[in-house]
Amino acid sequence: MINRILFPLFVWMLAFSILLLIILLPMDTVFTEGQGGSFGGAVYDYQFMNHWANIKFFFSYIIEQRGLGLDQFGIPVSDQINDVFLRSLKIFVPAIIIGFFLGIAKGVMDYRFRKGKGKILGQYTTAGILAIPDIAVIILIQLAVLYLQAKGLVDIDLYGHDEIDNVLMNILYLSIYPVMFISAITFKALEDEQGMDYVRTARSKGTASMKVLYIHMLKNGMLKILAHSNTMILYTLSNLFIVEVFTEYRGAAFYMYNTLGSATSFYVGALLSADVIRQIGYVFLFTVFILFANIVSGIARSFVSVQEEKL
Amino acid sequence: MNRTLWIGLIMTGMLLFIMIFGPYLPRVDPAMEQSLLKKENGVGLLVPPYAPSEEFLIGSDRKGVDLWSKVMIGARETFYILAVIVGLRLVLALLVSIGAFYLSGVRLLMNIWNAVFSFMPTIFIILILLAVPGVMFSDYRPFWVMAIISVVEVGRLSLIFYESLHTQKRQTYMEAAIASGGRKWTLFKGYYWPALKREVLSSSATEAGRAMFLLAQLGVIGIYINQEFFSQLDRSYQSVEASNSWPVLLSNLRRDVYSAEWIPLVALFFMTFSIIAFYLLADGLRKRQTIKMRRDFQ
Repeated sequence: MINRILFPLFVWMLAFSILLLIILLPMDTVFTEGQGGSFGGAVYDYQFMNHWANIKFFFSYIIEQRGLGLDQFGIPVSDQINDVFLRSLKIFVPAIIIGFFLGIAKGVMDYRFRKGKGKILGQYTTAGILAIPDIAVIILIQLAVLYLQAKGLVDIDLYGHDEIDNVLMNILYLSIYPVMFISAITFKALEDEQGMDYVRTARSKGTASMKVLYIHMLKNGMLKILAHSNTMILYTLSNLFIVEVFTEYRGAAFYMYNTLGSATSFYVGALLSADVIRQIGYVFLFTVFILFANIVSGIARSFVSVQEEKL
Repeated sequence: MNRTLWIGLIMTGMLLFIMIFGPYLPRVDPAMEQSLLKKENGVGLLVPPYAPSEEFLIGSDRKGVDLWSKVMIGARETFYILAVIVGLRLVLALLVSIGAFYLSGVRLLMNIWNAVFSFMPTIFIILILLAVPGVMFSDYRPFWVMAIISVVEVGRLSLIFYESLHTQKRQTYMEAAIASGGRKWTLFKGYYWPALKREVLSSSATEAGRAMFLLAQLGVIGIYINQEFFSQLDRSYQSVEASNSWPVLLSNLRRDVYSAEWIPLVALFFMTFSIIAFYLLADGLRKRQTIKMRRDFQ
């Protein structure tokens, strides 16, 4: 049990240090100016000493400020980061909870109707939607909403973060992929259990097939589903970037994308200084969240497998 | 009959056809002329983007370039990008997985690599790496972007390859092969490599689908493989996409949803079509292998 907490913690530390090293890369770039200060070209000049100095500076800053420090208005940076992170969690957590439960429910349905025409709505739909880029699904939903709006049937605010509409729509966008992903995994797990001896035994003793499915097969398949929940969370986090940036939902992913802004724009002579401190704050919170999810799924897995051993 | 494989092959074949003959197809304007003003009887002058019409089969983009021509011509570049990403990823994953299979040190590295990357959502790490100035201003930036996209998922793929090698190792007939004096190289050539080759074939289709999926996502948040910096009014420089590849059509997504919905719809249609084609191909290849294996054992 303790290993299920310590090992992820160790890996998290490693992952976070690597990210820290990348973020603290020195930004020394030599710009060549063309006529009238136009952009002639830029050469990156990496110096290990500067990298080391950045790292030392960051840690002394953290220790000195006892946290991430204040911004130019005197407001603690960590407060702002926590605020927007909570805003992200407001759409992210419901999306994965919906994904998990609805996904399992759909997976079981897909399994029950795996033969005959039910296959089209079940298995095939799941696989089909998994293959469509989520942005395509989002666009289709938005176009449908815009169409209905033009007809005067609904009134939904599509962009922004301060309306309840935004939250609900974003939960919808974010939960599509997890639902389909988990239902595909559930289906596969149930299919694997199908031929097992215990299923045949239970059936031959006259147990109702529904009972076999829900009580025995699903319980045993749970381990596989939980093992994949980490992948689901990673995917959904990736999607969070797309959804937040696209719909201008001002959560942590949106702001983190903005602190990384230098990838697409700059001024001659100076890179748009990525707000390194904030960036590290966001990276910290996101990775801690993944760590937390990791530990939870690890513990859940150990419970399921303990039960298995008892049987 | 393996229907999945056939549908996958036909769809991939269509993509291949577009890629090779795209510029010569009917209604394709190889010069991709911009028409910035259009006269319409009874309406007056129109400015792009133009909605689908007689003249523009599936509409035009914001510069008045015919979308049909743009998509057909851009296919080549799109698949070239995909090929580089997938090719690089396959080669690296093969090296890592075979290394991990024979050397415990490499295995440890692979496991650590995978564990570490399980803490970083793909887009997250790509964004962070692309903001490194060394990458941003490199003369070979397109190459670096493709390399980053492919390396980020090498660990996952090598694990798949490694597991297929391991499954092969657990087969009972492997003991016979070893007992009858097979050397490392003969075993690899005769047993492990064929097993791996099957996995590589179907994986490459899956990976192409995944890479396309990712390219679509990156297109939405404004990250392209080929981009040039152009000066803005405030003397800053903004990256501007400099290619005809499909993801670029998503660059104005927010605006297009309201005023020119055919642009993102066309882009997403072609990208989704190719993703489904690749997935079906992969699925069909897997099915074919299981059928073949079953036949071999009987």
